[in-house]
Amino acid sequence: MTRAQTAALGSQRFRQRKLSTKSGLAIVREEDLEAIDDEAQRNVPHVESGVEKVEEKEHHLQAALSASQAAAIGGKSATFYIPTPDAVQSQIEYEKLYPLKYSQPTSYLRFSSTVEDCVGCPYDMDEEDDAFLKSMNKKRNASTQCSELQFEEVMNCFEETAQAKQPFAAVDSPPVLSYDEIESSIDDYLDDHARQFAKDIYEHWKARRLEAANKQLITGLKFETGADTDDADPYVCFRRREVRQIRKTRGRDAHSAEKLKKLRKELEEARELFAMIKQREIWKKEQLAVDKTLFDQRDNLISVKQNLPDQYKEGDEDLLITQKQKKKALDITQRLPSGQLQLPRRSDGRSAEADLLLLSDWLAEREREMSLAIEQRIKQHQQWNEGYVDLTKAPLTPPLETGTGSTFRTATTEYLPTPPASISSEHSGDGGIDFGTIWERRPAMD
Amino acid sequence: MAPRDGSQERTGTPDTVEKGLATINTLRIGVKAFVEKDGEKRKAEILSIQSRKGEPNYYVHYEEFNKRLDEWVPASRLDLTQEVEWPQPEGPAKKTQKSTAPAPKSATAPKTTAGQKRPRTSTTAAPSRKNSETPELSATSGNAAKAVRPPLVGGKENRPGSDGSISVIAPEITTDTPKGEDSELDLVDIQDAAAAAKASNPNQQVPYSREEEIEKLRTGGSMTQNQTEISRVRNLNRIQIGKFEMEPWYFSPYPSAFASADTVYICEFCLSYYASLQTFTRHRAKCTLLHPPGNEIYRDNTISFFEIDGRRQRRWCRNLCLLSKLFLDHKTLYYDVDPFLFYCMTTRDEHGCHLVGYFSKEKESAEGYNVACILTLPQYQRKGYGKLLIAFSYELSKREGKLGSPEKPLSDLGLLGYRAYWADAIVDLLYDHDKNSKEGKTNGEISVEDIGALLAMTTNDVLHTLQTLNMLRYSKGQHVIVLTESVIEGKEKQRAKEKAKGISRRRIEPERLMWKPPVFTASSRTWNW
Repeated sequence: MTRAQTAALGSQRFRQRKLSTKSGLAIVREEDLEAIDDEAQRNVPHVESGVEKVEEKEHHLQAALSASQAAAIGGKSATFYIPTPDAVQSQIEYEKLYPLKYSQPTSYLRFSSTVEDCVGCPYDMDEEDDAFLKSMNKKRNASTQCSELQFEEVMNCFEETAQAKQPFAAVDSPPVLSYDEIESSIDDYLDDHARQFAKDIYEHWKARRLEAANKQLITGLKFETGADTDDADPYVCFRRREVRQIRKTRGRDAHSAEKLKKLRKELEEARELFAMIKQREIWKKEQLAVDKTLFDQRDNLISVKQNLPDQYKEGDEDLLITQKQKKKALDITQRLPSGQLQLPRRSDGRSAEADLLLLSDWLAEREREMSLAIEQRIKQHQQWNEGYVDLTKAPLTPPLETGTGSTFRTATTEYLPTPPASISSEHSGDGGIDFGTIWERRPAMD
Repeated sequence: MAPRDGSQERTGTPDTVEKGLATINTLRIGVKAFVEKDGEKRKAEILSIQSRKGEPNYYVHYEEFNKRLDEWVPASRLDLTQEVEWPQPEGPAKKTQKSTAPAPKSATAPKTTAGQKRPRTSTTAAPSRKNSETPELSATSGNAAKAVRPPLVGGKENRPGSDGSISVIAPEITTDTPKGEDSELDLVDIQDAAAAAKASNPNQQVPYSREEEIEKLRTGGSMTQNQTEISRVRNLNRIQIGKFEMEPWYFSPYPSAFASADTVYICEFCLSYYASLQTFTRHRAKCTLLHPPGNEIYRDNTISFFEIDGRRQRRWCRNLCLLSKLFLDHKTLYYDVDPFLFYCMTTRDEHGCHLVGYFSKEKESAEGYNVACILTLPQYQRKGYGKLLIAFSYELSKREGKLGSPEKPLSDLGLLGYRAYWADAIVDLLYDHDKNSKEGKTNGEISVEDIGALLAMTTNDVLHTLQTLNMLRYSKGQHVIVLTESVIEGKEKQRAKEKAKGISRRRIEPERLMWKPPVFTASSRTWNW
């Protein structure tokens, strides 16, 4: 647009209202249009075309644009084509090269196989290979001719084995693989029939690899190698888009770290809560066990006293006491389900001294009996296990064989699905220990 | 055709250019000499020199011609009786650019150029062409001058030249796609802005440094403006695909060994490439593919469309990109194909589904593009396939409920193709709308945004088209859309022709499209690209 035109447009700004893209515009025919301000209308406004500036100036594009421009404002002009190098019919034997016939399914095609799935053996023999194959087949009799496909399979086997064993052959140029080195992987690639040609073809392959400085025989694309020269090399293409970590800002990092911390804390709290509940239940159970022991001992005391005439003689007091005790004990068991746990109390202050004395004796004796029972159980257990080797990964009951007596080994269980708590890890440790002891005590309790 | 003296005048650079007579022996890369082209002499820059059978050959780029016309010429076509322009020496070259680019921000430009100069093989040195082209910008006024033709009655259907092949270009778009934040557009302001943009466009030539551009390409887009990527000597001599043979237009990073092959054979179905007929024949004996390896999403009597995910069909899509790079100047293959979907158009016969053209589309475009690259293969160009491809891309956008626009900048053929489609679509819509309103079915008015919404086009593209068609006018104190006589005539002619032949133009029929917009999870986009 010339400067004069731009200036002219500028002067019209007063008269033209702004064009709103939202409001409706009337559609009119040209002949219905009256009194067009020609000066304004003829200036076809230039809008950004979207073509790069340098190329927009190109001769043929300009010619084509002005041709269509002329047509748009009513001028006659022939359709103008931008000249391009022509495509011509090929002399190739198309029918021979594309022999497969396509039959169209009635429904829309759905297809997910890849090119690799569809091209068969990836090695395609070239003229040199062809010459070699022909000379090789000449030396062989009719029954042991090598087909082109078999040849390609063998070559492909060599190529892929070399690629697997010398992935950096292009860089550090190791010697060409020997036949012995390849032989081990032949089974993966070749059937028995193709195998018999492997040795002959190997020499050919080796010669070609030597010729190509031990590089791959199939010329592929150049992918990035990580070297600095990559960037300038026009042949390097299809680079990976590296994972976006650089774009991470500090703010975003801090934000997500904060979130994770909060989540961890909340999970930790829940876990602690459960650990505490578990602890409470363990203690309840222990208390129950103690109460029961107490009750049993009192029961025993009574029966012993009844059996011993001299003790019996001494008075009804003991009986009375034991009766009372029994009552108390029963009370306790009855109360238990309600969850109110109370230590059994001595009701009578008067007989407390005598009772205490007796109790301590009885307690000691009871202790002995108990340990005796435990030892018996242990022996029983060992008997059961005789001749068996425990190979289970986590036996239901912890092995007690090593226990020589009353010394209880506390087993620490480590069933922590989450890493050890950062806060108050002692608690959880305690819980684990208690859990173990409960299991060990169980035989003694019943 | 621009006459000889015209081009001489145009390229007269403001800075003193060293001129002088040259001999065959003193010619070197970067020299601009007059070369015979189609019976006339055009100024051309020598980009590479090679000896063939003892005779030197010159790879030349004709000024003001698209690079696809670059070619190897023998010395006999060089006119050494005229003075040649010697290339600027390295240092002063930068200075020249600075001074010729009247842009305030142009300081970044020379830096980039310097960074781009990279060692090349001795035969394919192509010094940055920008140096030579910058001066032209300020001097040319061809577009505006030719455009101001008085309207004449009559005229053919207003389809610009080629509706065939399209190549589209480059990643950034700053002034385009206004998403309605300012719907009040001043017609005059657009013109002023355009003029301003024109004046300052040397800035836009190098909007990014190489590093910035690569970073941008990593996250989106498929086009480059980088000169080292674009201004390369074509590497393949000839390709054979299907039943056709053709010359490539641009460089493509096929294996470098292929440069010496007379013909590169490309399998029509899997698009694999072979430097010799023997290997190609062997491949053909084994290849079982008969159509693009994806799901068919559209089928009518002549064509089918296949949708192919770059991530799932990496090999095929890479092959496709290599092939299309031969015909798309600004396309870059710097990064892998994963973030793109490829929509491939095929024709059918008993041999299979033959690839006619395709467009790629970002799985998620930050800029709202509905097309990244678009190409009709040369053997199918100028047959109306390009318009079908474009129509299909807009059909997908309609299904997505989005407005779409192609990635910018467009190539010359891309611009023509898109303008032809846009004009056709908008005129069709307005013509019917007008007819309906005359019959009292609808209210006669329609807004620019309505048109955009109905056609899945951005407001800017609609405006652009209405203006190029000279249909947006100002009458009785308000804007109106004018159905010009040439437009109506063209449309009626077209419709009469269709009626007479009993067949409608090839168009995309939405009810045949079996497609739901694919959804990609955030993690697959973030980690798997």
